[in-house]
Amino acid sequence: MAMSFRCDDSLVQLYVEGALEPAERLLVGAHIRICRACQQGAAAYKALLWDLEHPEPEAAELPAAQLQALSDRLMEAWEQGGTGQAPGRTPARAIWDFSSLWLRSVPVMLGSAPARRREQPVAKQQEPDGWMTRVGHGLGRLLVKGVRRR
Amino acid sequence: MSDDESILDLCQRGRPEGFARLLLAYQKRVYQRAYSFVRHREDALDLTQEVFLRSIRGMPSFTPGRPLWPWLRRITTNVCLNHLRSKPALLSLDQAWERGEEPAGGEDPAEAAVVAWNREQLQAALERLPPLHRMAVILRHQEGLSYDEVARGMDLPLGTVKTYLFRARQKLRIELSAQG
Repeated sequence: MAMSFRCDDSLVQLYVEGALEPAERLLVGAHIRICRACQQGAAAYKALLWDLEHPEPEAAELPAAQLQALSDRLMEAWEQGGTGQAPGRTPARAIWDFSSLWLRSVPVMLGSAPARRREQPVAKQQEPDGWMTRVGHGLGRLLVKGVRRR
Repeated sequence: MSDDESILDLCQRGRPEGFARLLLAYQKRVYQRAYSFVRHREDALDLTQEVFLRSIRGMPSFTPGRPLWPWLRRITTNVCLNHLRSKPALLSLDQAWERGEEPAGGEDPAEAAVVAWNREQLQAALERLPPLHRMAVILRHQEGLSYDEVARGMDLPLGTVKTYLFRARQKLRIELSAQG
């Protein structure tokens, strides 16, 4: 059956989603009851949304060995304070990581910021970055932009 | 204390076992979400690594008491969006759809019969969607976000997200019905 002007696929989708206002819902529902094409559409969208909302858990499984290797790399990054590097990183990325590492270390050396590995009260660790870190991050961004332009 | 609170507390005190527990609880989930967005195993693996590196940097300022998954999901969405936007070729299908140049198969949805499809066909059809359309579908229907939340998460106007969702679902229905 071809769509008449009363048929509106977007309204059928919203009807199935339960995203219509009550008055619209009544009208669209009344139309669906008498229109075979929209009945088919509503049934198909209902099945589609069900399948989308209940994906099979193993759909994107990764071999355990690869996940373990990733965990190991991330734990190393944690030990280094989050400066681990992604594989295949760009030169800009390398400079950024280096600047972050250096800038993170300066306030620690000067005793103006808590070191990650030291046991500290939570509130102390939530303090915003110091001015040196902010200036340093700005320099890091400039370096990254410079590399990107090249 | 909930699992999330306990993980966060340990991480914020610099304890490696906290981060190990974070990975145990969320690494697979982040990978699966990244994979669902980019549909490429190696890229998803790299992006998962990037998500957790960012989480390490953001952990000290994370507010205790809040659940970790919405935060990790937001980072995952941002990292995957950056990845997709850094490779214009990946978004060429989105751009073609925005210009109204949909690939073949755009039959009248009313003509598509209701049939059963299997999970593999659904996965394959999702894979053929333009990346940003697929991301909107996943955030809406697998993460259960509202239209507003999807728009905010993807940094797109609400109307654009509604259009993406309408067209993506219509395309999925037509493709799956045609295959069944």
